[in-house]
Amino acid sequence: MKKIVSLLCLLMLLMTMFTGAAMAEEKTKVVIWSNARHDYDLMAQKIDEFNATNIDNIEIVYEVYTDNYKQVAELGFDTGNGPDIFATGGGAWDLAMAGQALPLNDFMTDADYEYFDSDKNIVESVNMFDGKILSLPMSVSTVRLVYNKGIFEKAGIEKVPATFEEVAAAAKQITEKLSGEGIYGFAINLKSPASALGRTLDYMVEANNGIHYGYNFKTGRYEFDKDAEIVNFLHQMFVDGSMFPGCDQLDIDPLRTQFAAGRIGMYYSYSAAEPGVYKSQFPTEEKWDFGPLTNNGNPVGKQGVDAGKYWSISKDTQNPEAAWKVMQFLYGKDLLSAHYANGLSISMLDTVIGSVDMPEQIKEHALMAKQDTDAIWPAGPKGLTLEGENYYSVFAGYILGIPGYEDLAKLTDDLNTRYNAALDKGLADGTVTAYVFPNFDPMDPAGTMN
Amino acid sequence: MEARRNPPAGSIRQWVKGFRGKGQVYAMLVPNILMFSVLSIYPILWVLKYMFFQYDKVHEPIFTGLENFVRAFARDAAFWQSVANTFIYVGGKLLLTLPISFLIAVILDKKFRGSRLVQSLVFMPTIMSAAVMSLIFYLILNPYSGSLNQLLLAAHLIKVPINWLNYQNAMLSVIVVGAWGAIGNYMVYFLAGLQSVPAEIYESASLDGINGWQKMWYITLPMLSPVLKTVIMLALINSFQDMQSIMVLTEGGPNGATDVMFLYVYRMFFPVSASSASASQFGYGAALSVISSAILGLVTLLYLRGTRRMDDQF
Repeated sequence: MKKIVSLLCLLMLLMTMFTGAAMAEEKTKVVIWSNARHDYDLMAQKIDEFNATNIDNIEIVYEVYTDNYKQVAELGFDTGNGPDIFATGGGAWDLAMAGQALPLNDFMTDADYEYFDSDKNIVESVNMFDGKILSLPMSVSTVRLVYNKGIFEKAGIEKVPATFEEVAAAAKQITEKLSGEGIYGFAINLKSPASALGRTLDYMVEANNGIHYGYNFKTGRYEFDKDAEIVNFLHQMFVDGSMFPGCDQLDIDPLRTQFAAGRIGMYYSYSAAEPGVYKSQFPTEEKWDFGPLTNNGNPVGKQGVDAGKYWSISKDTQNPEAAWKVMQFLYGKDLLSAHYANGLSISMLDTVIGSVDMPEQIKEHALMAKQDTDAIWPAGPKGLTLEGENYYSVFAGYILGIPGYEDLAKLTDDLNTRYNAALDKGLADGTVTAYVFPNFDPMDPAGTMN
Repeated sequence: MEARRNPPAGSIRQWVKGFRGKGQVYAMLVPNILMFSVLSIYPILWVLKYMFFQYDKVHEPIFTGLENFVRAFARDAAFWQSVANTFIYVGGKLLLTLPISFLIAVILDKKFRGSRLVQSLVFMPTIMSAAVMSLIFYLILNPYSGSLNQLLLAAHLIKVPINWLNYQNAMLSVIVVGAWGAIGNYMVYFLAGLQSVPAEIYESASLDGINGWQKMWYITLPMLSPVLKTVIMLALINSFQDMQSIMVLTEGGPNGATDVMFLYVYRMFFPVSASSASASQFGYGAALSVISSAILGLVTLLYLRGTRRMDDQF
């Protein structure tokens, strides 16, 4: 009998020990999914520090999915295996807007609004819908002219071109003087028209014409005829023979390899991406810099920036409070300052920018930083069910002089008709969300929206 | 002792008896049936349902009746252009693939030193990923640094690089790439067919004094006709469904010059451009899938009818 009692006591003691240990170690797990690989080392280091030191018993599980991120996230949410916090890049912002993101308003304090400079950076239709804040601003990126300083010098071009005429003339001059050496004035990655014109036309037309992706916020209509000047500028460089041969089948990375090899004078791309590309992806000895995004010399608006959103909390999270604490860590000054100082992002927040020395890349490429001519623009109509070719493909056809795409006026008429028909239909059946701001000022887009 | 009577045919008892006897067989079939149901039956039923809807996976599906089909037949010229491109691609690919693979099979059937090695080399592209193969061809064909142009320039056959992937040449390039990936596969079929022709027939024909061409025309080809029929049908169906290599090589461009039917349908489900304002169109994509499958089915049916007639005549 004594033996049985002793055994039972021992068993109870062991159970108590194990349960106690398990309870002590049981942490609230917050799963984060990101589509960014470039900052993994820093994120992993900072998350390890957070996991080791936070007093809220939270453990962050950080996972990166670069390929098909939107599909992976969608599948995760559909099957109940999604993350607590997800990055809104890689197309996942569509999921956030479709109701996957938990509104953050209830968590936000006055100090948070101040930290995020909400008047400028928390903007209806950008990261807030009907007053519900779905994400918060972190980094900023926009498009610049990327040019090879050595080629400019060789071709005798002293001034960085700023207008359509100047860029076309410079491209022609480079090609005429240097094509014998395999060097051409201008390149564009038209294998994927959306990628090519998404980093040229879409940004140019905002500053040049006050139009966003063909959509006029004042009238609530698509007006692709306003794109004609810019499309003609690109077409002219093709006609002049100033474009790098094979632009119609050039992807952005092959274009970058040719630029790194010193065979391309100019192209357009993202301010946040290119310094990293030529530092680690395609290291180059060529001297290059950013020039301003081209316009007609009389811009009527600010140039749009990709900004305003980065992380969202999933509505399906079982631990919203813990998720918010992790959001405070992700958006915290410590992490964002390190991100910015290491050249992994251009911070959107003045308080972060002011807290560290200017990163080397910005010292080298001043236009990498956000300029006074850059501003957040509202989101255009979402969810169009368009019939026929999209405008990227149509304009690419015109730029390349493909048979059937010769008459630009006819092409823009057709685009206006089809896009506006899709807009009207979508608004009628509730599948399209579109903003109309009768007093929209392209020089102060955020001001108009709020 | 009374003989035990068998239960009447078609009765439940007989079915149960039969099932008990073949339990192992059914158990082995279950995984296949499950996989088939999940991966084939369910998607087909899904497509058959949503072809009558407008659906972007963000908003609730909206029933639109036959609107998707009206749009396809009345307003979507780009889709029909992709159908026309598909026929050009299939025709070109078959014209290149079948004679070359047949010729290689005839040569390899002669069994010479190194024939096994040649056979393996010719077959190798078949086991390569179409995406990888297309990436390699992109490196070969691109006009700015492609090795083909470098070779032609070095040999002084051209003075300026040729843009093999522009609007005029892109279709020819994707046909050549498609044929290159398929030749090995059909070569193996032809080789198996050639090796099944009894040697005695050739021997007796030789005694009658026929020459090589006559052997080919009057013995080999007729004896190969069942294989040929199957090979052409397989080649036809596979070529119609080709899209992976085209997606990597040209993405269907420039401006739809190499857009084929199933690539067009794919883009309705998964728009290539993330920055495009246009959303996925699952309902319309489902309708186009059904139309494309019907076109493929019709072509196969016509082919089978044609070959049956030929069988009757010869």
